[in-house]
Amino acid sequence: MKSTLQLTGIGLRTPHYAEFLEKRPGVAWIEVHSENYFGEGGKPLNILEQVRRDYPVSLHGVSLSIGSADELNWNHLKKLRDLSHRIKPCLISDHLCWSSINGHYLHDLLPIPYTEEALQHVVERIKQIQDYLQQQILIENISSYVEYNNSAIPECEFLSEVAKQSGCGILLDVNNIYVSASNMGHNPDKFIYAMAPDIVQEIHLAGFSTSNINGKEVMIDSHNRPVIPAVWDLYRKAVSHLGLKPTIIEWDSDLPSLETLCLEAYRAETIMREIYVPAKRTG
Amino acid sequence: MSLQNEQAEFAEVLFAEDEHTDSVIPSQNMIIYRNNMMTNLKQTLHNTYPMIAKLVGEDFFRVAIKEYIHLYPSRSGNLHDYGEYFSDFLAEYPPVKNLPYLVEVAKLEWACHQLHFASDHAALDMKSLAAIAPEQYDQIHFVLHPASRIIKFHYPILQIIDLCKGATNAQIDINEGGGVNLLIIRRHLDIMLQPLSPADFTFLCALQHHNSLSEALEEALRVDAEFNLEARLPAWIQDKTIVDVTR
Repeated sequence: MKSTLQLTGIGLRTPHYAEFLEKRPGVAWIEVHSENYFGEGGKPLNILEQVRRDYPVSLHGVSLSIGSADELNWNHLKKLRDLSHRIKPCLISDHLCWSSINGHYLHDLLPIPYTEEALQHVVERIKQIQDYLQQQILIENISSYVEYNNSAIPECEFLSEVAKQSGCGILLDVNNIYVSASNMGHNPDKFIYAMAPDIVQEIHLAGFSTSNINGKEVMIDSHNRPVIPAVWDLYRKAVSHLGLKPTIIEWDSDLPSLETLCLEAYRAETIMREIYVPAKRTG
Repeated sequence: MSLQNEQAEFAEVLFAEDEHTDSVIPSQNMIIYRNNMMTNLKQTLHNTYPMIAKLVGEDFFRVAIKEYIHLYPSRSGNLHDYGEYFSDFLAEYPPVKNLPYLVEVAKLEWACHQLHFASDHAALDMKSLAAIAPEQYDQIHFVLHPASRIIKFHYPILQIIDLCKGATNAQIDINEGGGVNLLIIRRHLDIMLQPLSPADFTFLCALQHHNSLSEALEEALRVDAEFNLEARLPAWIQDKTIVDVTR
């Protein structure tokens, strides 16, 4: 790809390593899953260090288990801090979810009940994490397939409060908003407009799949397809409300060619520029 | 219900074969989380143990790893840490009790997996050896590369690897002996397997157990009175098998 993007990038996954290093596509930045580089040496870190010489890198975690009732996993955090010292990422992020309890890891992004108790717990944990890492982190909204009966606060308000009270930023996953809203019967636009523009520092886009559970279609956040038109539309609304935001295309299974993935990033950048420039002139 | 209880119950539902819980709606969707969890753990085991999958066949492998996942839940947020006890599991798993070579294959695969992520290390400066007099041998320790392991295999593991890779169709007689001592080491980012003579194995194995140079030498000489350290050492330092010397 010849053009050099300013704000949009891709999630870099192992099967694309060699081609990425050879072709050096013109994406603005890349994002990787932090845990994949928790080793002390070898190929993954070697590749990441090569990539880091030419691109800003964001460390996106999946297992900090911020919403867990367990004690924070300090061993995990130490590895994240060591990696951060080594790679010097532009951003560090994880999810508003839990993935471990009583020391057992379930390796999925599990929802938390949106209660006052959970809010205070999450805020406290993010403060501890930010103190330990000596930097702000971003928290991402997840895709949900169930809701807790005792949830009392809408997810978008919960997320905003977490950011306001802990001082973290928000990584807004527009696809997750769409998937959760469709699965749970909420209004995705309302979620977007509830976000304060200055708190959102990054946007994620991805594709999803659907599954039939007992005769009911459920959308699954599988990151294995292109972004669908309805999610591009939601992205347009997000950009017009939030302004220019660094954006990452995530694709984790059934990976396309690197070129196809970069073209999705190119598309996101084009949309962002179309939407944002006129808004600025008239605004 | 407290957050702690709520999450403990959620986890219990994921491990049970029953979706029912009163805490969430629609509870039938709990199966999605269970599938995600199982897919991630199964894929991880498959990536780490491709030869076991090949040897026992995909169908049997799926059944075995499901059992493993129930017996050995993940205790780390890093999926690369998962699967450590698979060789122990296979040693005790009744359906493969008569296939003890699988335990060794699993040990090899786990060692390779670990070495893939192990620390790098600079080469040892030859000059630091010149300063060592033989009378100091009992006080110094040679340190192996952090991305290396010395393992004794009782079964013909190299032939089993060739078979798994499709490099040979020859029949292997597992009980014909054919054991091998291996140095497993990451060189230039790739894992290498190097057979060792009995004396070399004994010497490097002693270093792996943090024995002093004189202890390692003694053990090697007991195996082979012709073992010549001065002849072996430069190569091991040059290829970064030995990377440090401590006093």
